Amino acid sequence: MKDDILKGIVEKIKSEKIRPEPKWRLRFKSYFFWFLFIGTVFFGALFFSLIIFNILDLNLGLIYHLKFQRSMRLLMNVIPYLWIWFLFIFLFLSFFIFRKTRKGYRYKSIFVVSLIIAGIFFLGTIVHLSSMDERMDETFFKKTPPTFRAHMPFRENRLKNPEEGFLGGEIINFDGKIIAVRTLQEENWRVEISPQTQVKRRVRLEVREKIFVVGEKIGENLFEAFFIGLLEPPHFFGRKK
Amino acid sequence: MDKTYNRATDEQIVEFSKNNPDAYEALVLRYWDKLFYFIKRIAYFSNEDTEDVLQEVFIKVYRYLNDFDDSFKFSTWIYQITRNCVVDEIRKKNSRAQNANLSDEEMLKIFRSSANLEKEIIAKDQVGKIKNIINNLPFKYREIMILRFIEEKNYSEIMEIVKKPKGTVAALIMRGRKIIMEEAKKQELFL
Repeated sequence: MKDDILKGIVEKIKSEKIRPEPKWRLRFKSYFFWFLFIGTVFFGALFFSLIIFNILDLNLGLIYHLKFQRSMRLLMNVIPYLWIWFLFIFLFLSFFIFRKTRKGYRYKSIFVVSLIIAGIFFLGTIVHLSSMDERMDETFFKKTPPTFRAHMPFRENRLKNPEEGFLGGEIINFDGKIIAVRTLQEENWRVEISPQTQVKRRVRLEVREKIFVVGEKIGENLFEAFFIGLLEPPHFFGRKK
Repeated sequence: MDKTYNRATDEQIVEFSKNNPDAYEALVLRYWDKLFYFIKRIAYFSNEDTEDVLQEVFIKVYRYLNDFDDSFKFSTWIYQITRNCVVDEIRKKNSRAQNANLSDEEMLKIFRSSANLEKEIIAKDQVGKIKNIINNLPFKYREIMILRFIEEKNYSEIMEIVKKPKGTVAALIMRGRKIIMEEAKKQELFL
């Protein structure tokens, strides 16, 4: 009985002309998962660079010049929660995809997660240095339907949000104490400066200069400035303009 | 049965089998009994079901011969495929693994190894309780305990068979032992 079954297996292989599958076809699944893994790490890196872009857009040195509560409020406004969510989603995805690779099960979870985080940090920094994050931010902004734009962590949104302490636009007049600014939404605002206002070194406060202001709304179209910088892409973190 | 392959290693037979299915019979013969009892131990299948699963395993192994990675033993690889087929079959049957077909001696072996009782005599009336404890062990622990203490596989081999990191394998063995010990204490198996 047993012998019949044993012989039957070989007979079945012969009669049904079963052949060992070629190596490339068997490995295809594994290559596919590696490809997916690299893709998810890359996307994780893109979102990480967008987070860097958003946070470094604000001069972090400013935090030291502000009161704790105020600086915390600013920081909370700057943190791009949506990109952080996406980063976590891609981190988890890449972890599970790594486990699906041919020998992915052999490694401890802590090792795999550390490897992915290191990859995301490294690639994310390269993406940031290459300014790809800035182009992505702009592209996302343009491609996002206007109804959703306000809910996205775009740099442009932040500069249009005086209520949250951010204002961006072009100087149309400056009398030494008050700067008249035309914002990105074509609104005119008056920005008060005081001896405590920190003005970035390259800012000349001239008409037509594009600036961004961090401060507080103190009245109707009136803003008190804590920090004034140039309205330009962030170039911190060793990135050249 | 052709005796040409009697002295050949598994890995050599794998190479021969790629071009000659007759050579594969030697591997089937070599592993049939081992895998038959392995399936019986980890699952609750009848003899007929076990034979069906095993036939499927050997056909699958033949199809996947080119996927065999000689960085680990052929026996580990074929156990891995067998275990996957068993898990699939359990899922297909849409039920959880029930009582395993372990002999009294095998049950006692797992129990002794877990409780670190080398050769202590266990009273006859206690064997029934021990069987209950082992049978009630969740599948994930039971299969690893069987691989470790009955199939006598080392941690690296178990890692490859169940496709879990070595640390997880060690933790599962430890937790399995703990469950057995706690149950044994509850049922007053230790005086």
